[in-house]
Amino acid sequence: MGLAVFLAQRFLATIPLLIGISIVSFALILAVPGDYVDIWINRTMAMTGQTRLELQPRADAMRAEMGLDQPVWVQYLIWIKGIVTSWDFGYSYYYNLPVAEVIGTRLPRSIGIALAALIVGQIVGGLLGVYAAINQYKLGDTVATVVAFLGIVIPKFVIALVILYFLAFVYHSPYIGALNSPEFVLQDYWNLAKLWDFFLHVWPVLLIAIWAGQAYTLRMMRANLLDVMNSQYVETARAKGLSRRRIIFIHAIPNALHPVIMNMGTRFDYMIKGELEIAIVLGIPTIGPLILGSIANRDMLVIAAIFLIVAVIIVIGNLVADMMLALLDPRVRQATLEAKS
Amino acid sequence: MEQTTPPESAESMHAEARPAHSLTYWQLVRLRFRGNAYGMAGLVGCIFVILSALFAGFIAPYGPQEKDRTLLYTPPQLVRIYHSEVGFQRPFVFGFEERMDPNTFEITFEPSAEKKTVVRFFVEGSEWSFLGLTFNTHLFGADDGSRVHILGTDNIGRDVFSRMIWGTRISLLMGMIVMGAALAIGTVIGVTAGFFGGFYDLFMQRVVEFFKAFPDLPFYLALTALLPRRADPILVFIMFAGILVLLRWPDLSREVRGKVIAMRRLEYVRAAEAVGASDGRILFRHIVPNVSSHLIVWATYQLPEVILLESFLSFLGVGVQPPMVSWGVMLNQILDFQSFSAAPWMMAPVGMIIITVLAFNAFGDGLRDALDPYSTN
Repeated sequence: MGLAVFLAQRFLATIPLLIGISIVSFALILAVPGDYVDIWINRTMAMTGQTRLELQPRADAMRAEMGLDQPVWVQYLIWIKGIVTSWDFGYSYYYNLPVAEVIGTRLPRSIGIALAALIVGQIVGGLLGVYAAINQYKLGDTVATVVAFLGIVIPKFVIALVILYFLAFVYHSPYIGALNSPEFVLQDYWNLAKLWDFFLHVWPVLLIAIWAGQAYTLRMMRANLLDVMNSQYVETARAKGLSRRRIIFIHAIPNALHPVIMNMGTRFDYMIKGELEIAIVLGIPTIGPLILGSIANRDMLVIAAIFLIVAVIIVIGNLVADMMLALLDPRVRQATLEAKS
Repeated sequence: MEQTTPPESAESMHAEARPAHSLTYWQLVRLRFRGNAYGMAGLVGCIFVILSALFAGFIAPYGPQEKDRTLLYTPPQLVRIYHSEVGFQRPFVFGFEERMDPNTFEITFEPSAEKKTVVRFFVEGSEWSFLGLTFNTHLFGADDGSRVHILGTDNIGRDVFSRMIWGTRISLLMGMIVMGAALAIGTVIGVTAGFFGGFYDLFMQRVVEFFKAFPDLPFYLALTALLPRRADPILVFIMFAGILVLLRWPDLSREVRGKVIAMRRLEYVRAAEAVGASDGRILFRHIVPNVSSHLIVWATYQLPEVILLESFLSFLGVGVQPPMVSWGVMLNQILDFQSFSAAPWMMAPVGMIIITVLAFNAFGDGLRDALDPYSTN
């Protein structure tokens, strides 16, 4: 009963948030003056030498056809209906393509890279955290903690710049600013050679994202494990004469792991942002550079679409994380229900 | 920040010899903080950065826009004190012999012993002003008309070191403005929401949740698209700061609200209510002083975060606009790969960013431990 109420509440609370986010996205489009027809007028004037007055009737017809002469809220409804029913985000001014097509190829790459970095980062951070906790105050612990601290403190774009410098100007690496080498671009199936080539291009992104992502997990894992190691049942296990290895791996780690796994959902948010930041610097063709290019071109439909999609992904990610948390840990749903009442 | 006056003397360190009156909270904080080497190192770093910002005109040998068109992309000059012919002498630098490879057209710079320049301290140079007074003395430089570039020059012959020091001002100013405004808004909303509760609290919590749900980086990027491109740089600076503040205050207000709600249930607040103290008195005498340590720690951690964000967005060219100089604006010059390959020393502001972030984080950690009355240190 309690669980069902919690899940329903949590789910319903998301809906006004999603509506709010979509309104903000639409407001972004309206905030920049000019619409598609204005751009069409300018283009046609430049190409054919006609005057604005001559083009006006045709422009009005276009506006009526696209619904741009409707009140704002009708335009919003048209826009949101297109997205929900047919994944239609409108038309990009700059690329002269449907926005869905512009984003379509890049979005899965961003999500894929973020997910890969998230999973590897959690595993690496967890293992290093265990290592640091077992070797507390020894050299290994100090090194791991310092590396984690630097991963948190040094900005990702700075690491990316340094790596970029070395790759581009010291090692003259051919593997920058793309996803695949030219010989693989037209190959439309994936084999080991293409996958390896892909990896050679994206490893800096993964490396930086994993480094930054594992730092927090390492700290948390280390602190949790040290806490657990001081608890009474571990003391009991020790008193019973169990081996150190058995105590750590059978009794301590599973209990320390709990919060780390719980945390994974919320880290996705961090990884998506990290991927954007690093990809922009390294010029990896994911949505990062696209959003920057669209800002320069004032291509607001693309910006609004990316903003909407990323925000929705993050909101849904948090929702799933919360629900998992509630399913696995009865204390969470209890606390949330009490706080609400 | 409260380190300006040293505590009474060394005897306060010895518990036995302590005078009869007990130490105040802030004296205890100071004492605990001084025992923390890591925090003290952070404090020294922070003071260094703040002094560079205040006295940028003095430390930097040249103005931020002063250029010498004959010295483009010159590498950093090593300050030497040993000359192979003369032996040890006062600090000097070598000028460069410019050569062009006839096949690749690559320009190389060789230090040449003929173009020796002695580095002098407290030399006269371009004018700078501080608190309305105008000076023209600089920490170091050359007085024979030649120029000293210890971190090289950029694509139009401006001194990278000078620009980096001047850039400290804008970067730090942006950090302070955003941190201060977010602190003020977050505190006022958090304290009032926690204290008065009711519909106002409910409404504010929805607003906070709304802002917290936004993915911040895409939202900053989307909002910067709205900044006017050809507007006055100062206007862009202010609008940019406004965007950063907009997404910075909700976190703090949520934390403060939680603390205030917990505090309302404590005996001393209820006692104050019982004797008929006014709301204002309870707020300003009993509640706000008790969240202040939390606010200070939050502010210390916030500053480097804002500086990072500003650097990143300015680096992308969507934040602070030239001719204003911030570290991010300087890094923006190497987005152009030609400059990056010709002059990797233009990455120097990266060092300043890392020093600042490390220093403020270390200072924040030390402060957090020192402000905790239960820490045993």
